[in-house]
Amino acid sequence: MTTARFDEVIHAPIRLQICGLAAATEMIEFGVLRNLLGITDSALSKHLAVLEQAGYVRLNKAMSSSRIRTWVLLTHQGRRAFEGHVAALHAIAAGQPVTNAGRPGR
Amino acid sequence: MTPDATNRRQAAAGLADLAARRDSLADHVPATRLRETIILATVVGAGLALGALHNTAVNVIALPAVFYALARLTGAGQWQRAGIVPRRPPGFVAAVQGTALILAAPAGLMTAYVLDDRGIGWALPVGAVVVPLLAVAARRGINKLRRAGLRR
Repeated sequence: MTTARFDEVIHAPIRLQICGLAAATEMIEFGVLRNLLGITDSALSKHLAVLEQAGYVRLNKAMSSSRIRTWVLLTHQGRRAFEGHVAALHAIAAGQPVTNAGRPGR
Repeated sequence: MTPDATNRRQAAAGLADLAARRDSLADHVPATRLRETIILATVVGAGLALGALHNTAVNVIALPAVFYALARLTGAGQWQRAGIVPRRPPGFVAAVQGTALILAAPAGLMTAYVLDDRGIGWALPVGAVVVPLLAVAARRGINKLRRAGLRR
C-alpha cells in the first residue's frame, strides 16, 4: 500500500501533471509532453530541471529520423514520490489529516 | 494538520486535472502508417502465393521476406513515433503475448503449406489472406491493451 506523503517538489501544478503523464508511460517525448501541457519549451525545461535535480525524472536523448529527441522517464524514486503525493491529495480531498503536508510548491 | 475546505477543493481539482490529462494521453495512437501496413501485408500474401510454386530458389527469397514482414506487422515498436512509450505489461502477460505472436503466424503458415501438400489447393491462398489479417489484428489488439494501460 502506498504511504500518503505530501511532496513539495511535485505539488506545483505543472510538475504534478508532468509526473502524472510520465507515470502512465514507460517514457514520453519532450515535444508530446509540452503539447499535452500547453506550455513553452523553456517552461517545461525549467520544471524538468527541478524534477531532475530531485532525482524524480531522467532525461534521455536519442537520435531519431536525423534529429535528437529528448525522452522523459520517471525514476523509481520519482514514481514512489508521485504515488505518495497522489495518496496525500486523496487524503486531503477526503478531509483526512496529512501530517507532513507542506507549503504549496515553488 | 486537518485540511480546510480550500485545501480540500484544491486537492480534488488537482486530482481531476490529472485524470483528464491521462485521458488525453490515451488519445495518442502509434503512428502506424497505413501504406506500410498494406505493403507488408502484400509481401506476406505474395510470399505465400510464391511458396505454392514449390520452387526452392523462390522459397529461399520469399519465405524470409514473409517472416520479416510478419515480424514487422506484429511488432508494437511503432509507439516511439507517437512520442509515447506505454508501460510494459507485467512479465507473465508480456511473455504470453510474445509467445502467442511468435508461434501463431508460423503455425498458420505451416498449416497452409501442409494442407497444400495434401492436395487442398485453396489452403495457401486462404492462408495468404488470413495470416496477414491475423497479424494485423494481433498488433491492433496489443496496441489497444497498451493504450488502455495509459489511462491507469
